[in-house]
Amino acid sequence: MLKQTMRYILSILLTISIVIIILVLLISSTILNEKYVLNKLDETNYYASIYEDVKSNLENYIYQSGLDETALENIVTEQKIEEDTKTIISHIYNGLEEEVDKQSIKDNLNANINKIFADTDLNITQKEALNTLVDTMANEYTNTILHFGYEENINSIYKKATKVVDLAKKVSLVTLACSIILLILISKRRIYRIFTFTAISFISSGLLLVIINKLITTRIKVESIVILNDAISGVLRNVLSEVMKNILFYGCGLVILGVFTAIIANLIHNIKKYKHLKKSSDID
Amino acid sequence: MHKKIIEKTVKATIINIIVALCFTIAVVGIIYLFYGAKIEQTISIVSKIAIDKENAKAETLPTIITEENGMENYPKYGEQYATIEIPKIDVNLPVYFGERLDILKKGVGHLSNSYFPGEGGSVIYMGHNTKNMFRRFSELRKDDMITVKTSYGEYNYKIYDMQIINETEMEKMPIQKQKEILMVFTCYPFINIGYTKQRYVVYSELQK
Repeated sequence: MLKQTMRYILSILLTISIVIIILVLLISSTILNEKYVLNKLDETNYYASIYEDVKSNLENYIYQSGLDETALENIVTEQKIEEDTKTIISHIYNGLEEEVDKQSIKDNLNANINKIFADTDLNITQKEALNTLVDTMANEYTNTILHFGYEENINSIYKKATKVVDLAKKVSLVTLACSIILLILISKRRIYRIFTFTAISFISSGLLLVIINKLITTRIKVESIVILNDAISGVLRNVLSEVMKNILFYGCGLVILGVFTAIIANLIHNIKKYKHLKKSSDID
Repeated sequence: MHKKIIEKTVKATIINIIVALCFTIAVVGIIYLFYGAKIEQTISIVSKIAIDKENAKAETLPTIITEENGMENYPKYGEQYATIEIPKIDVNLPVYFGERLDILKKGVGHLSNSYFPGEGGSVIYMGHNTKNMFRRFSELRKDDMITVKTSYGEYNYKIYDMQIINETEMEKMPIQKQKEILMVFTCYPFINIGYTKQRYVVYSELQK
């Protein structure tokens, strides 16, 4: 009775550790992985989309400024946006304090404006207004590529999250190993029980993952997430959808694996039992 | 005998599945008991950034149905739903619902939290001060007319005031529902160089 209770407790521990390990592995290989995020930015055409946003936003400043569109010539390229975005991502993941280069935007703008007003004598007020315009447009550029301005905070959240995830991974791995060892030790003479209890853990952890997926996808419309701008929202939606799909995939996989293990373990046990019974009836 | 083995195996597997289900329910129960409030809080925070825009808009905006002109559905954000005509300064421009910069590039924007023509409240429009748009606003005087033509009716407004305000003085364009007022604003000075923080607002009221 005590052994059976122990098996149930170990099976629950095994269930929890499997769920935590899968979730932790999914999180650390996606959201907390810089390379994965950069790949997603490429996949979702992030840089091209931001380039269009930047162009459109800067054009609007030009429209209200009294300047013509030649002021915008060669100010920014998609390549610069890619480099600056990578700088910000690196800031978030590695805490590197590299600033986005606004100066080149200002220099290009000033050069274009100087060309436009080459033959005009501007007064101080006009010059000040132009300087304000250039500063505002340069700020608009950095705001558009990654609307945060909270890289420091996100970096510290990232560091904390990484620590928690690492700790959870270690604790669950130790729990998983201990549970399996104890299950083996308790069920030494009845090996099939090790498999049936492991199967139970697989099924229940699979069901838990499916429940987690359903809880999130029914309560949160992942495809409608809107944050900061279309490009960032697109990347976030893509990442979250992939994480959700993986949770569902592993959940269903574990349920199937668990049922399969249970069938095999029970089948072998019953065949052995049958053979044993046959042997004893033959002896009789 | 084989049948018996299969029967026993199926039975044992079903019992295993039932036990697994009980485990799952127990674990979910335990998690919810200790972390239920935190989980709900997190979900509600995330839900706020996952708004179903269509439904949200339908919930926040009332449906306009008047006796003669019914507009049952509001235009989608970014959609053209009207034209604005100001004969005095040769303005005839499309009006789009929304205030995003890409909308203002195409024509006149309708501030999304203001009312629509015919609703009896503040209607706020905005546009650039370029040559093709509102650069000639300074020529407008009291009693000049502004016409807004929508798919559900035509609305004529008479200008009663013009003001220069700072970009932060939004209280000078109040959103109310006592009287139908059309406020159209653009950047000021009209011919400027550089960044401007002032806005030129034309106030007009609906003519019956």
